[in-house]
Amino acid sequence: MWNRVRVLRTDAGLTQAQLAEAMDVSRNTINSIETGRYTPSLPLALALARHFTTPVEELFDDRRSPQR
Amino acid sequence: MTADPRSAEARWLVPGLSLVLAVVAGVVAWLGTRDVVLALLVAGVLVVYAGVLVIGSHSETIRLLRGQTEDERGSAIEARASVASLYAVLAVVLPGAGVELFRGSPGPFTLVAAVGGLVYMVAIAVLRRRM
Repeated sequence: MWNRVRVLRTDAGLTQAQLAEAMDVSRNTINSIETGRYTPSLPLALALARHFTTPVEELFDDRRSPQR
Repeated sequence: MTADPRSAEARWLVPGLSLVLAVVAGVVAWLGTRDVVLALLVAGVLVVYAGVLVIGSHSETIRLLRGQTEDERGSAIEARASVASLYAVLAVVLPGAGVELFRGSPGPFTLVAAVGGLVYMVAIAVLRRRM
């Protein structure tokens, strides 16, 4: 699923490891989400949206292809 | 088992169980065949597996094999791997049960197929109510 996690993370000056720690998931999971290999659960998607203070539908879009 | 996946307990649980299984499998193989080489080979495979699990701490694959599912993605990977394993087992068990039934002598394959089928039906019924 297409998402803006990488863009928002880099804009916030966060590393994947720092975001992973904030979300209580592994760095590999953040990387997999950013590359579109893994679609997070609704609670994790909401937590990410809350972290970046953005609506979840602006963070994830199921009508667009995953970015690589 | 609900140990924190990052704890020492979680790290050593599966390797420890593998070592216990190595001893049990080795003894059983020796009691069944009296073949020391075969018994050591059976136990050795499991000892090597346990060793790899202990040494490969930095690999996510090894951590998952140790049962250290760190988050929801790890759980999803474990669930999909379990389903893949199930399909492989079914590919062996179902033909085996078919042959046993064709011969008119239900055996271990038939038992495994029957138990698996029963558990699957019960699980579907229970999970449908819970989800």
